[in-house]
Amino acid sequence: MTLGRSSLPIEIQKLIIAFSSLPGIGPKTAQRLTFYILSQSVDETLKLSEALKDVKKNLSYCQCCFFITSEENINTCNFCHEKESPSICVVENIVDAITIDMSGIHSGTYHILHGSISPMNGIGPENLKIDALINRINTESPEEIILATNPTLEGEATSMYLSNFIKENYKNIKITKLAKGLASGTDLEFSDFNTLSNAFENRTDMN
Amino acid sequence: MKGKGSYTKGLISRCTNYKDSDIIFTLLSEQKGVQNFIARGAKKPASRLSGHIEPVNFVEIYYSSKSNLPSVSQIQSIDSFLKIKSDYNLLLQSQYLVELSEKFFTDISDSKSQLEKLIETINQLSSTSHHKLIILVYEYELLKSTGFGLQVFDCLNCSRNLKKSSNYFSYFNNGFYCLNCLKEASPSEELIKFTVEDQIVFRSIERRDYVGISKLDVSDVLLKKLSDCLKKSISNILGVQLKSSRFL
Repeated sequence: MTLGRSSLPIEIQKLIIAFSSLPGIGPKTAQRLTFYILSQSVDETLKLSEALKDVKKNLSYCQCCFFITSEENINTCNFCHEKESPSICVVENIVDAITIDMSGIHSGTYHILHGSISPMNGIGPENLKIDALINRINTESPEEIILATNPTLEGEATSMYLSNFIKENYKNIKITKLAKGLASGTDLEFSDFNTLSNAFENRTDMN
Repeated sequence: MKGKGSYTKGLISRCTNYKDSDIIFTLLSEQKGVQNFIARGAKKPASRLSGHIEPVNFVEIYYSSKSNLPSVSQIQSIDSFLKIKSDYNLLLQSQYLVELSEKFFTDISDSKSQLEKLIETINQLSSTSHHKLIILVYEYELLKSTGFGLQVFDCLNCSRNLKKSSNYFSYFNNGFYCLNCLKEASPSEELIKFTVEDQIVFRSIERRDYVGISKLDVSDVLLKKLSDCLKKSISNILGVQLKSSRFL
């Protein structure tokens, strides 16, 4: 007789299912993680569960830029209220905002859309934080909107939608988009047509 | 075939990030219909694969099928449809065509000719202004080639030629009822009235007569009516509504 997963205690089965719902974790890894948790001391396991609980319970999104903030600072997030700049950098997710901010290139504020337009996944403009961005444009009257969406089909669709909307409704706002083209360290020989065409389109004047 | 690997051409329909730097993508291939592939390390900045792996890209790929999920070793873009991708509305329409094809490709034995039709239709989107009509023709053709063709010349019930009068379309049964057989339709069937002029447009679409269609001066209202009928028929066949259809 073989010992199947269904013969395991229900608590273990539930934890395996919970782990396998995480991105990049399959049933095998979920099983390994479950048995690792089981081998840990009660204190260690409780620390993990407390951390998970706190993340969901105590944190929320800033109602201005939609970065993560504590429940008390929902309207005064440190990430956007400590900065003063006439430009708003629009990104798809929090990690993108952190990456740009850590590089120190952009000193202005950010607006996190929490996703990108993806028709095949049923995600439209109404599913993103675009209304909040429009509210910010109305109240803050920025000089420039920097569209820093990913250079993917969904990211491009999002930036096209936003630039069309802003161009139509706010004539005085400058709209810019991150440059696309050859990455540092790559060879021209191995570049695809898409990248090359972008690089040629966005070539800079050397005079 | 090259070495131990295999070669195919196809249109990328969707991509999913996997692990830190891999991409799993779905290809509407000319040989085996819908196929999934993994491109290992494609998200690394120096990867030679990343630029080619994007939805609505017509590519040729070399892959090794040692595992259940074939791994891509080389990929080359044949057509990236840059004109489509630089226009928001065309992009949404092309995504709809790709999602629609993805659902029907598994049922198609001759996926090569269907892939050619899909690519031709996407190209037509960027070259004409009759986008909705082009989508209609493609939907019609796709239904026909998968055995779900609409019955627009004969009555669904008596199989006689439809008379030159108003007839009623049933998206539940994918065709028309003549006036005499109207009572034979199930009470739960939603029937849509089509005038003689409306039916002429429908028949022109059946004949794929682009020149004829462009001369017909199809109103937006009729286009919407035809489009709704076809979309309802498609939803009825698939049992689900396509996610991208609401963006059209």
